[in-house]
Amino acid sequence: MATALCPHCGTPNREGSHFCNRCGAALLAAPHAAPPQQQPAPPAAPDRAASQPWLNPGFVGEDDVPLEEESADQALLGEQAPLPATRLVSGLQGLLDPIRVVTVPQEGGETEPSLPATALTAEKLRRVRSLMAEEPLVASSPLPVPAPSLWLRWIFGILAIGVAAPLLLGWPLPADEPTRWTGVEPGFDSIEALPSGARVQLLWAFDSATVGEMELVSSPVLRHLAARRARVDASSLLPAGPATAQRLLSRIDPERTLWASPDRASPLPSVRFLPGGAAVLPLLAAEPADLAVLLAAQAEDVQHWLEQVAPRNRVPVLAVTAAGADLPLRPYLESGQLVGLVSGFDGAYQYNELLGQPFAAADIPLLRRQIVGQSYGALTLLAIVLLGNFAAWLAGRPRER
Amino acid sequence: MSAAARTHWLLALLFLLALLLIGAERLPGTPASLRLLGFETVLLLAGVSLLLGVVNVLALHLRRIVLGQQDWPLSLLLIAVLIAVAGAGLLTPAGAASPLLEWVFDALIAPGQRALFAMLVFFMAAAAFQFLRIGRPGGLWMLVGFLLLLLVQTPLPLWLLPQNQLPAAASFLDPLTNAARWMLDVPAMAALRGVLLGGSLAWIVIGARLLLGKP
Repeated sequence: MATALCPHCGTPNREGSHFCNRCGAALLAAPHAAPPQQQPAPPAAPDRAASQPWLNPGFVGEDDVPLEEESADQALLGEQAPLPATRLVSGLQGLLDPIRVVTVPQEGGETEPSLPATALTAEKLRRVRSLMAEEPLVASSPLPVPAPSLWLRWIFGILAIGVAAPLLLGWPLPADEPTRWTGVEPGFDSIEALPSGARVQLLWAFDSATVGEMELVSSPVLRHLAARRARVDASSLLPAGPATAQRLLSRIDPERTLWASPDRASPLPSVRFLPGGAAVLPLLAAEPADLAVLLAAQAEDVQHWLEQVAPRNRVPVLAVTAAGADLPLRPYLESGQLVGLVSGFDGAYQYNELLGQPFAAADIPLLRRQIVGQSYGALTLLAIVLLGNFAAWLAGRPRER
Repeated sequence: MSAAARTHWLLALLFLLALLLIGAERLPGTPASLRLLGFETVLLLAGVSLLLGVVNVLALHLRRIVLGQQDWPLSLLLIAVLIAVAGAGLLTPAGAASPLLEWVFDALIAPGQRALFAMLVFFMAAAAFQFLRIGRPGGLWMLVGFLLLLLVQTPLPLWLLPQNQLPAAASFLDPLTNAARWMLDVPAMAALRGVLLGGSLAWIVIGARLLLGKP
C-alpha cells in the first residue's frame, strides 16, 4: 500500500490522507513513499533533513515569534526577517506535537486556511501569546476581579494610627452600660452554691500573651472561689501557664487559701504543667471535683475539655474566657454543656457587681482606655476592609485608552 | 535482625499496643488504671520529647559552632542563655523561683509573647484588606458575616447613630443579633464539628496506615 510520509514527524500515512494521523500536519504536498515492506532500506539521513528543515539549528520558520527584546514588531511584520520556510510550530524544533495557533500572513504567499491579512498585527499576536500563557479558566467559575496589590505599609500605618491616636489623644467613647450577657449569673450561682471546702478543677489556659484581658475577667471568679473556701486543683497545658498563674495569684490570693494541698514552703502555687497538649486532658477526668472552672483565652481549650474530660467525669463546667471566645462558646451554654460563661470586659463588670465588689473608681480610666483602644481598632479594621473593596473596584475599572 | 525486620516488629508492637489501649478505653469493666495507662504514657512521652528537643537544639547549635557555619555567634549566644537559665533553675536553692528565672520571664518571655500576640492584629488587617472583598469567590458572604458580627459585637451602632435614635436602633438590631447567633449556632458550629470529625477520621486513617506499614 502506498503511503505518504508526514513532512513534520515522518510518520507514514495512507495515500490520499489530508492530514497526518500522528501529528495532524497537512499532507497535501508530502512526498509519497512505497509501502514499508517494499522499501529495501530506511530513508537516508540527508533526505530526512531536507524534508524537515526545522531540524537545522539555524532554521527560522515563517511564523517564528521573536522575543520581546528583539524588536518584535518589525520581526513579526516580516520587514527584516530571514526567508521563511514551511513549518508548523515555532521554536520547538519539532520535538513536540505541533499545534497551529496562529499564522502570520505573508504577502504573496500561499493561502493557508486563513484570516484576513490585517487580522493579526503584532499587538494582537502579543495578546494571543499572553492568553495562551495564562492558566486556563474553568468555564463555570466567575471571572476573577483584579486584585489590588497589598499595601502593607499603608495598612499597618493606618491600623497603628487608628489604635494609638485615640489612646494618646484621649478621644472619647460614648457612655454606655456594659451588655449583660446570659451565662454570667448562672456561672456566679454555680460557685455560690459550692459548699465550703468543695474541690474545684482549674484549667489555666492562658499565658502572658493574653493576660491583659484574662486577668480582668478571671480575677473576680478567683476571688469568689477564695471567698467560698474552695480547694483548687490547677493544671495548665501551656509552658508559661504556671508562671503567669503565680504572678496573678500572688495578688489575688496571697494567703493561698485556694489550693487543695498548699505547700507553704514553696513560693510557687501548685499549678501543674502537663506536656502533651489536649491528648493528656482525659487524665484530669480521674480526679474527683464538684466544679470545673476553665480560664481560657481561646474557645478551643474549652471545647477540648468538653470533648475529652466532661463526658468522663460529668463535672459541671464554668468557662471564663476572653471576649473573642464568647460567641463560639454560646452554643455550648445554650445546650447545657456549660453551666456558665463569663467573658470579656462585660462579663467581668457584671461578675464584679454580683460579687458586690464593683470596679473601683481608680480602675475605670484604665479600663476605659482598653475599651477605647479595642473600639477604635474595630473601626479602623472596618475602614481597611472598605479600602480593600475600593481598591479592588479601582483595579477592576476598564482603563481608558 | 535486619532493619526491615526490626521495623516490622516495631509496627506489630505498636499495633498491639493500640488495640490494647482502644480495648481498655471501650470495653466495659476495664480497670480505671488500665484506662489511664495510655494517657499517662502520652504524658511521659511528651516530657521525654521535651528533653530530647533540648538535647537536639544543643547538638545542632554545637555543630554549627564547631563547623563555623553562618551566624555561629548566634548559636553560641543561644547555648549560653540556655545553660544560664537551666543552671539557675537546677542549681540554685530557689529553683524555678530564682531571681534570674523571674527576670527572664518578666523581662523577656512575657513581653515577647505579648508583642507577638499584638502583631496578630496587623496580619489580620492585611488579610481583611485582601480577602473580605466583593467579587472574590465567597468573599461577599465572608464580608456579610464579618460586618454582621462587627455590628452586634462592638459598640459601632453607638458611634454611627445619634443618641436619641438608639432605642429605635435597638429594635432594629435585635433581628441582626439573632441572625448572628443563628449563624454561629448552626452553620458555623456544623462546619466546626465537620472539621473536627474530618480531622479525627484523617488521624485514624494515618494511624492505621502507619501501623499497617503502608507508606
